[in-house]
Amino acid sequence: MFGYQFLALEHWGNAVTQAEVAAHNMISSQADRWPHLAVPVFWSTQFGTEIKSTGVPSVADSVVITQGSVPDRRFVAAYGRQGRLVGAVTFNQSKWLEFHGRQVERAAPFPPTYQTVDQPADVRPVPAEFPEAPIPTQAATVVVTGHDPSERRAEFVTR
Amino acid sequence: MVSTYREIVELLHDPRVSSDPRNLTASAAGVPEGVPGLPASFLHLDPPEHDRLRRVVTRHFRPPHTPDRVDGLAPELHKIVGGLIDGFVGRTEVDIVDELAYPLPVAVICQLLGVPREDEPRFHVWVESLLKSLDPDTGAAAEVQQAGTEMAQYFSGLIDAHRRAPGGDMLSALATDDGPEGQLTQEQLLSTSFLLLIAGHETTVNLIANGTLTLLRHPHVLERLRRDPEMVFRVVEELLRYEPPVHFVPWRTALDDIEIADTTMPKGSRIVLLLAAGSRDPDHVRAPDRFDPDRFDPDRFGLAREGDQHLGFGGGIHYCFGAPLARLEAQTALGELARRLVNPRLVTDPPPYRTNPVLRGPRHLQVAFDDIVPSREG
Repeated sequence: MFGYQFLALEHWGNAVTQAEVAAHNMISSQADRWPHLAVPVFWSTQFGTEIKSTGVPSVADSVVITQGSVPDRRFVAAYGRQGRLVGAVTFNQSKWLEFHGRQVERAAPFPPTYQTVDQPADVRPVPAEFPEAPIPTQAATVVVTGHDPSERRAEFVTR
Repeated sequence: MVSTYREIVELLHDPRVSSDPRNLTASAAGVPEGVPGLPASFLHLDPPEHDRLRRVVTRHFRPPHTPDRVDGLAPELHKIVGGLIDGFVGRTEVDIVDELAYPLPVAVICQLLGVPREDEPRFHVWVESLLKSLDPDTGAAAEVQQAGTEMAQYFSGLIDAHRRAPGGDMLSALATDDGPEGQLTQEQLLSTSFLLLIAGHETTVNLIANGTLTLLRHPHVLERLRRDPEMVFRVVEELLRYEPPVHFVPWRTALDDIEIADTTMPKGSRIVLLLAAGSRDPDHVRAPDRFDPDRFDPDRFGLAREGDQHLGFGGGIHYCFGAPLARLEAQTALGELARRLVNPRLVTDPPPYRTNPVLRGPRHLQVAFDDIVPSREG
């Protein structure tokens, strides 16, 4: 979902969600165990501005303002990577965050093409310009193994 | 038409859903709008206009800027409820709708907006006429128009008077607002006043009347409430889930094709959110058709869980603006009814209902009792 990168999520909300899943799995039989698949969320209030984030914006290559206005300090920014939504950040617009979290879960196309309330006149993505990851990992792909036609297999690798 | 909890919550938070009736296509039109001749109130607007209007009004109603608006009304509210129930003394039967549920919210809104006491009777007549616009049966268009015009004139005068000599009320605060986002125009002030009046009125009437009815149908809960007044907080939450005043929201529009629950709602179609059905969704709450205030008891079930939430006040950016006031009015009225009515019982069950399907509640609610316990003050 996020370029198959290993992620360290350093918000306490993630620790709580992981703990809930871990506690459930500790007391459940193997068939009833859950995978930890929560989409990351964090929030912070900075100088009166309520900032919330869903997904992993920092892996994005592009960003676009989908609702509101940056000069007014009230907006939704959607982050995309290779044509798919990977995250969204809201500034004083947190009521819309859940929606974008669900869009991330569905790997929705980026940039979004749907119509919403409070849409800016110019919905055009710009480069996100995040600094390169300090320890680059390779993107996931499929490798072909085996020599004999009966042994040839496509195998999914994440690194 | 959406009736399940999860899908309703999704749509309440979906930016592809508009609350502006102007986005409805012609075939889906026929939805009640605001007061003729006035701009739309924030109930019928989308961001950014909705957000700005609501922020400006919130500044004078809620914390952090106005921390004690609702709390400050509590003593007066107690006094109004006490006075109305004092009026039952010497009788053995009253209509709870006409003698408590209806007059209480009008008196409170007058207090909130700074309408002088002596004008309340005039005000009452206009409100009753205006509320007919919500009722599909009456067809009283001329009367509604007339009441709207007269009340707009009255409010214009009141706003000017409050601007010259501001009091501690909300209308004075709005008329003299020095906030960062500027003042509302006179027209916006008028439509906002009307909205607070109408939305804050009929809904609370139904909450109190539905609450009285439900408690009388569950005498063991009423008896517990009499012995444990603190229980009223849980009772009102459960009422908002079990028998809410607003049964559905009929005027949302899809701004784009929206896929939900394996269905596509086409762009331009009208979306009806059945809030009351969502609050009774068996996938959301256990035993949804049971009236059980204990489901809101944090001591019984540990921390409040997501499964205990209800849609009584809607959700998303249009979450009920007056929720804290509605809660306070219902808690006060139902708490005092439980305390003061001796051996109360329903005269007719079911009572006659209003014809309005959106705002559901009894038209009259005859209640018989043996005696009235004196008010605390008296």
